Amino acid sequence: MANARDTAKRIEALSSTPALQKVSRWRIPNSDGEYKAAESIEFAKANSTGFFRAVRSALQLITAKKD
Amino acid sequence: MSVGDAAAIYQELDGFFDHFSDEFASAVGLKPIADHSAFWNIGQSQVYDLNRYAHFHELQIPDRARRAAYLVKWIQRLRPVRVEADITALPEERGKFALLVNEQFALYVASGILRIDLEQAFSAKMLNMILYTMRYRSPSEDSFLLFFVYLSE
Repeated sequence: MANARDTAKRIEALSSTPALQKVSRWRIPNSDGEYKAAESIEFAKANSTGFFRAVRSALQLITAKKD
Repeated sequence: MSVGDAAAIYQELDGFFDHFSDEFASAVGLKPIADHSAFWNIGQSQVYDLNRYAHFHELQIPDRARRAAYLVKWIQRLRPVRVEADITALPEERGKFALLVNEQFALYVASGILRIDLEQAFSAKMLNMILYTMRYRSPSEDSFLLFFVYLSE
C-alpha cells in the first residue's frame, strides 16, 4: 500500500508540472487563415466540369470489361 | 465562420449541394436529392469534432485539411444524398454514378475546402481507388487528414 501511495503522489506531482502539462499539447502549424465557405463553394463550382470528367474516367475503369 | 457554428456548416453543405446536384444532373441525367436533416446532423457533428481539435491544439482556426477530413467522415457515415432511381435498371456507368453519389459529394466538398482541382491532382486509377476505399473500406478521419495535408502542401 505504501508503494501504491508513493506512485500516486509521484504521478500527481508530475501531472501538475507546467512543463509536462505542455507536452500534451502539440502545436499544429496553420497558415490557412480565416475560413470563408463561400470561396470554397465557388472553387468547387468553378471546377465542377473537370470534377465530373475525372469521376467519369475513374468509373470507366470499374465498368470496363476485363480481358 | 466560428469553430462552433452548426448552422453555418449546414448552409455551407447546402451551398455545395446546390452546385453539385446541378452538375451531377447534367453529367449523369439524374437529379440527386438531399436529406437536409442529415446536413444538420453533419453540421452538429462537425462542430463537436472541430471544437475538440481546436481546443486540444489551442488553435483559433482549424486548418482546411482537418475541416475537410471531418466533413468527408460525416458525409460517408450519414450519407445525406440519394438518387431516386432503380440502379439495377440503369446503364452500368450511370448506375455507378448513382451508387457512389455520397462518395462523389464528399470529394466535391473536400475539393472546394482544400481548393484542389481533383482532375489535375489524381489519375483515373487513383480516383478509382479513392472512390472504392470510401465506399467499401473504413478509412478513418485521421487517414483523410494525412492525405489532405499531403494534397494541400
